[in-house]
Amino acid sequence: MFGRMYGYRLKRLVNDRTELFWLAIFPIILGFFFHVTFSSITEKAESLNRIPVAVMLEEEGDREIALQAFLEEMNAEDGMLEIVEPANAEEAEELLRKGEVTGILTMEDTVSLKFAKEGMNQTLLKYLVNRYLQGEAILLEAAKKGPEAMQAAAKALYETAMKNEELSIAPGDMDPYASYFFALMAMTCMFGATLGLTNTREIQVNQSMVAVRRGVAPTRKGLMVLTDFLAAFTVEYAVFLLLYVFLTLILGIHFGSQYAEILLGGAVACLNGIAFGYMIGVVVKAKHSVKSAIITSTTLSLCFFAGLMVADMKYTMEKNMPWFNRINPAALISDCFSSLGVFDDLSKYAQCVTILLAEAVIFGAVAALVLRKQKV
Amino acid sequence: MEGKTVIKVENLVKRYKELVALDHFNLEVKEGEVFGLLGPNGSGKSTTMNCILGLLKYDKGNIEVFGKKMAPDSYEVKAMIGVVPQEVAVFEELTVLENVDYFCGLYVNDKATRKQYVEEALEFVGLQEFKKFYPKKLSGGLLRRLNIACGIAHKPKLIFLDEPTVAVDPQSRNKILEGIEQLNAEGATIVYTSHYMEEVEQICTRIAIMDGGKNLAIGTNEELKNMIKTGETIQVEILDFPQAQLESIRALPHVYRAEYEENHLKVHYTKGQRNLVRLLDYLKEHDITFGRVYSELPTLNDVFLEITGKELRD
Ligand SMILES: Nc1ncnc2c1ncn2[C@@H]1O[C@H](COP(=O)(O)OP(=O)(O)OP(=O)(O)O)[C@@H](O)[C@H]1O
Ligand SMILES: [Mg+2]
Repeated sequence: MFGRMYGYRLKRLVNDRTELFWLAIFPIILGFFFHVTFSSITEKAESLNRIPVAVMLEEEGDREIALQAFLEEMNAEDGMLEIVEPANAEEAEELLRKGEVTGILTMEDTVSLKFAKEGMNQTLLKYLVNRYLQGEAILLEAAKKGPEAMQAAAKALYETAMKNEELSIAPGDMDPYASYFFALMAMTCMFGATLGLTNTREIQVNQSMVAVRRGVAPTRKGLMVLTDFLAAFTVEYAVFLLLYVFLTLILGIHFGSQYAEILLGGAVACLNGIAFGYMIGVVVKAKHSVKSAIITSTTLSLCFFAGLMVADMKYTMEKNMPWFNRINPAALISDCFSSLGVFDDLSKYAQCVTILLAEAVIFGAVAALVLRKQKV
Repeated sequence: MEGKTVIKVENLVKRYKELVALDHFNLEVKEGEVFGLLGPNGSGKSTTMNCILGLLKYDKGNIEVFGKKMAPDSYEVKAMIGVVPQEVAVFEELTVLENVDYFCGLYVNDKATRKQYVEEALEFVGLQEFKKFYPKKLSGGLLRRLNIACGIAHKPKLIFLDEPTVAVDPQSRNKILEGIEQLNAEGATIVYTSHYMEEVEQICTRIAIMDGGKNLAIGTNEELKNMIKTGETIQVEILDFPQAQLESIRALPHVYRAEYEENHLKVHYTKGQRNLVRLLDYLKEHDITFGRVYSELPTLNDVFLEITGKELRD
């Protein structure tokens, strides 16, 4: 019984050509266009492996000297930074505004960074400065012993900063347009909501005629809900895998090699999308087309804030409304995958996956409660 | 036809906001009956059925099916019921065969039995050649037949059919009606709703006439017709009928109405015998030449007309 119901449900969902187009084909087409558009830009940007930074050090104290030594090490042949030393603050601002440098580094009480916007390079720069500040004491100690000792200490510090396990890739390895593709993955997973909606439509007797047929049958509602849900999840997860394979194998986009984490993150993301559809499907009292419109517009808006249309959007949100990025499923999905690409440390990833899962549980619980109450 | 009571509906009241769709509706269906719910559009036929099936919450009243109150988890009762809803209820994404198999499978778990049942249902509605078709590719009539097959494949003891012949050509309609009689002959109790009185007259052993959410009359075809004044209506084609004679005609025994319109004399009789002979004798006596003569027995439309003062179909 279980297998048959699951099988038929699977066929029911897969044979819905319109839905399948939006679910599976549309993201692939979009991904392809992103790729075509960006690859021409990326070629020009290929040489920009190093992060340009404007350094403004005014006084000549020990701390400045120590920092200078570290930066020089970073500026060396295989370093991550490209140090620019503008003549004055105006010139630095000008460079920053034009985007010729990623940030301005100054030293007053402590080292501080100024950015015009947020992005991958900015994140990396912040990370490096934090690393430096942690090791600053060692350098200061060395500064007292003389230039040679300091040189060695700066080199050591530089190496720990670079080799630190948290930082698995250097800028340039990461596709600068990766954020679009992460948002695209988010969109794809969230579109799973339409499958959830379809399922609720065909289980509530006042929503569709097939639900009437199923409602008068002596089959337990719980069994129908379960098999419907599993079928929806199967379809959605397959769609996610299809997109992932397309992006990595065909378009050659790099998502890191933490496959288990990617598979788990995708599963949780799909779950979140489907559960959201279930909730809208049973809570909203409106025609199917209205519910469908609600789902599409919500999904796309959330994806917009997660950078699907404008890549900087997510960073802008992070600056102004960071809490929103912590609850927006699209941002969470995108962060979950992008954190895998940048940090070996899984805390960010784990945070995203946990919140996504918690949301899915909440959506699902709301849907289940309302469905149970319907009593017909 | 004195069987066990299969459905019992008492004082059922159902409101849609202000609209009272069912107003203290009563009904009893016995085992083995083909019970007809006859009423014009909007009279509450589907609402009645949906309440009985537990698909709608109702405001007042009591419903028992097979002696039990219907609840979402009345699985034993549900297992004995088959439903053919008014609107076609099938999956567009599954083929004819898969649809029947899916819905039958909600009742019948054994694979071999189900396979046989599905085959029989498809044969029953004449869709064997369309097994692999998707519903979209079926004509309206064939779709209706698929709708029926999905509702009856599991061989239910009690079958609800809600206007299964709407928008079906006469040939398909006859096939459907014959099929229903066959299901009844095989032992199923049938509840059949329709606004076609001919159909109801043809197949139903008992009929309830509904209007405005009320059960106006209930009985066999004959019983219903005996309830009303009209016995038979005789029409005579007469080219030139002197209006003055109309009064004398009205004075004949059992005549309660007579009129002359468009070259036809139409005489309505209450019950009584030899009405035709008496009328023709009268015409001959008065040297009135006439053409064709028709005699019509009362229809359910006459019953409806007399009870409600309006035509069943307008
Ligand atoms: N979901 C609903 N909401 C509001 N009113 C409804 C609803 N369903 C039916 N009605 C109203 O209830 C009344 C009875 O409707 P019902 O569908 O039972 O009639 P019916 O006899 O089956 O008619 P038909 O022959 O057209 O199928 C009608 O006046 C109809 O407009
Ligand atoms: Mg109806």
